[in-house]
Amino acid sequence: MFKNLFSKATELDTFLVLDFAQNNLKMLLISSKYNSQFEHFVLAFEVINHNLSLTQILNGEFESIRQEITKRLTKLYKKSAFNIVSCVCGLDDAFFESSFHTSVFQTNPEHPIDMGTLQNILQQSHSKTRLSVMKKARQKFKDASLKLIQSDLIDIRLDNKSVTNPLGLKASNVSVIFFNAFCQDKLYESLQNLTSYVGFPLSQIYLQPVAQSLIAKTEQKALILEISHSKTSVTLAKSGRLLKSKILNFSTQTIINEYQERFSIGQEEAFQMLINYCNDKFDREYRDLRKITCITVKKLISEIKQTVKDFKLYDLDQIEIFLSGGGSKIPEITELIENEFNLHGATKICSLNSFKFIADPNNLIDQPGAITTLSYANKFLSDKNKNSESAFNSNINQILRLTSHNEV
Amino acid sequence: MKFKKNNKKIKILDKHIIRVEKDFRLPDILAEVAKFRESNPNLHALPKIYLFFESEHVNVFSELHYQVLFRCLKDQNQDFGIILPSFLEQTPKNKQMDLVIAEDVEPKVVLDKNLDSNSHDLVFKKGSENAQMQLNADIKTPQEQELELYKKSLENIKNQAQKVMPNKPVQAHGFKKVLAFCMVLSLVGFFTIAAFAFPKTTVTIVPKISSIEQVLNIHLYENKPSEINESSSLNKLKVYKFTVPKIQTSVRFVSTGVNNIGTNAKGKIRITNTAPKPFNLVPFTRFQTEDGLIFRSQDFIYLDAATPSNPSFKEVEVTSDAFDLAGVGIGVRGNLTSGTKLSLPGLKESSKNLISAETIDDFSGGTTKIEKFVKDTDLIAASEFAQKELRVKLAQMLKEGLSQKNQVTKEDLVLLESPETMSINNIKLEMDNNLIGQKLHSFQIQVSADLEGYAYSNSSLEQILRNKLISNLDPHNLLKTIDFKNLNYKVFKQNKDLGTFDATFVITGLQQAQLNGSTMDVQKVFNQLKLSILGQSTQKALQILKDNPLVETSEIKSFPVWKSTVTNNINNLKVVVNESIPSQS
Repeated sequence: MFKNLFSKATELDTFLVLDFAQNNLKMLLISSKYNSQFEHFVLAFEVINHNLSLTQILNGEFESIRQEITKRLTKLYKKSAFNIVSCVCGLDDAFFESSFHTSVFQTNPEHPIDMGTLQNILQQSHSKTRLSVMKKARQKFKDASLKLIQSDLIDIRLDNKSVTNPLGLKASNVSVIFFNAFCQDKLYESLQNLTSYVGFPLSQIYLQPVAQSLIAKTEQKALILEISHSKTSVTLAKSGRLLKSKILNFSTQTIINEYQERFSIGQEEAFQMLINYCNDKFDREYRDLRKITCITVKKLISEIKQTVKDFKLYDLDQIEIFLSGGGSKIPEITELIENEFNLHGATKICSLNSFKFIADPNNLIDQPGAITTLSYANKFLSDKNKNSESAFNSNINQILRLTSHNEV
Repeated sequence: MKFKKNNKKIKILDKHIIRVEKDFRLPDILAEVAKFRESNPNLHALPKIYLFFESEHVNVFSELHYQVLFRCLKDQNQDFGIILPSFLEQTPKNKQMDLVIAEDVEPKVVLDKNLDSNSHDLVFKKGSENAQMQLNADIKTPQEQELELYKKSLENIKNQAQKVMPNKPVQAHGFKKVLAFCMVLSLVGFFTIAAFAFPKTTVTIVPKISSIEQVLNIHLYENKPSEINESSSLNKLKVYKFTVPKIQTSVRFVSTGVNNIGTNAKGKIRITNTAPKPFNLVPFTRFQTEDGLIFRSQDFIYLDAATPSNPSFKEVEVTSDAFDLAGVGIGVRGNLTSGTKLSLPGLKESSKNLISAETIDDFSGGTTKIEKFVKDTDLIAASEFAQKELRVKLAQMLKEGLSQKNQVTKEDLVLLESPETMSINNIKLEMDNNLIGQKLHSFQIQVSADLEGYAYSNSSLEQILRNKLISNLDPHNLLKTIDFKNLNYKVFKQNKDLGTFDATFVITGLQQAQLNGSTMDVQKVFNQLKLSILGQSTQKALQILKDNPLVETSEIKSFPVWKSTVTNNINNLKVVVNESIPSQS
């Protein structure tokens, strides 16, 4: 292990963001200095494709990745010297098990809720929810040793009404919703080793749905659909905080497989065919391509419809819809979503503008797949700048510190 | 209308243009196209259509939405182009778009009908003082003509009177005017001479302020530092182990046991039998509502044999159970309204459809009253909670203990606040005996324990951090403040047996460019800055200063004020450096 390879005194201070996905690792280097709009500049963006299986990643077999990261960073360093001051890591949904858990408590409606009662409720609900998610995580990771990497208080409701601060209010029942996530201890340790090898201990791990929630900047609810190469994730957020999330069994790979089967071609050719199709270049008969694409995308639409029902979203007129990931470039996805929910022209594509704290003056970000990496970076910078997206966040953080800071 | 495509004029027939309003959505556009196609007699020779968007429509300006439009029309084999008016500030970036620009098009102005007519400047009123706005100004009424004659005669009388009256006041007035003119002339002359003789420029500069952040690893040791190895840090800081013995705290815990001590509802039901055989229902037969509330009869019930067309009936009184199927107290929920359907869950499947029941009047007497009591699990949860509470308060208690120690020893020790370095030993819990089953809303637990932690000397740490920041300042910068309040650190390696820890510290501060000072280096930079703006126009000089990495803001004042260039003479150029943040002592 070599220490502080990239830390010389006079170089430009930077933050390194590592985005772990199932088939690649994205690496983003951002300057630690910001301009007058508090925007940090993107200095480099690299994609490292890896052939690691899910088990290999979960077991932290990162030697090949470690070598590749060092190689890329050395190359960048030779071009322009920099010094990594913080390193954060974003994790794809596949690497952790998360769950929302609601606990309901009866309280005396004649007495206002005081700090003691609230602490009791939070303590009990936190341990309940932790156990339930842990049980789920044990099933997924086959009884491996686990590490709690996220524990967010999503909402507190008094008599089914959401409140920002329950202290001093009267109610007959209190519901508490937590979002907890566990990953394997091994993976956590391996990530720590990997980043400390680069020269700095791991500052923070961010989870995809939590980081993406910052795209929803306003009080209006937002549905963020990320259609990637391995899965589709749906995140419901409001004012920068996560409300619900779900993974759908659909990916751009589903369309590629259909092309492969229908035209009897190889994987690579089918992949290129989809990219060309999105750019209005038709390698085969236009109608055939359109028909196959529409039929396949309809599978996604039916899953989204079900998710919208599960999320209890009855009026989509009042909800912003954001698309991200490689699949957002497929026009049929936009077309069929808008047709299904009668929201013509309302969907938006996530772009660099969706992130408050990042600027890319040199146009280094040119692919939709980078959006998730940017969302991790944005979350990190947002936390660093102590940017509280809502009063709720600051309140619950304060309460959480009182109850569970040792475990989170 | 004139149309241009790639800067060349083209002609488009009006009938081939479909206007797309601002609020049209994709289905509206497709409907308009469908109308056009229907109006065309020959479907096999459809002409190219042009969609005229008069605003920045999403289906043109969003690349993806344009693709959607393109594919929808391609599905219909409809060739199309896009027309945009020339007044739009931007054009779409899609290169494949068949784009035509329409010239001589005025943007549509939407008139707000609610505008208050009084807010308009134009008032069409006869005789208005605004000469341009007089309507029928030439036509005058007899009264107006009379008034005009009167004004003219008054003017004549004034002129005559001035000729007759003595001339002194007029002369005095004229003398004052001359005197004022001379004064102004002499002042102007004086300033003009001063401007040419002593032109002077004062430049006020605030040196560049920027934040500086440094991250460093520090090796903390209790007795002696570990041997230097590959990952060791060169920064070392001694830590002191200390204990706070027999700390006591109490915790209140809310009981979770719940007893339903309310009363059960009662009421009459009618049982209907349609089976061709009689039934004997035993006492306490269950009758269940759709939502799982259970009611029971009290005595034997005999139901006569019957047929579906001629059923037999029996009226009986039933009482609700204390708890429903889900184990929740029934209480007031048992007060059913008349006409509520009940089933008999105890019957065989074949008989269930033949016998049914229904309430015949409103049930009453059901009340819900909940009483809390201490459960055995509460004691376990409470002791866990008490320990957790102690852990939450651990840092605060250690700080208090350390503060008392500091007062005695006159040291400046600060707690090393990290979960890895703080511990609780010899925990003892005290609570009342026989708590289980007691009807208490909450109960109290006393916790006592010994606390242990590590502390470091604040001044020593500050010195290390200050040195680190100073060694990493940008060139020509001075460290102005260090934000010790927001100091961040995390212990990442520990060996409690040896009493050594490794921690990463993040410290931030503010640095400011150094333009004041007597050293050669500073003087050289200061003179270069002065020379760079000498003789430049004020605008350019401000730009030069703005581009200078050592300058945050600048202001230029010239004498005379109309002078728009910085003086050529370096002696007349005064540069004031305004250091806006005070130095930290």
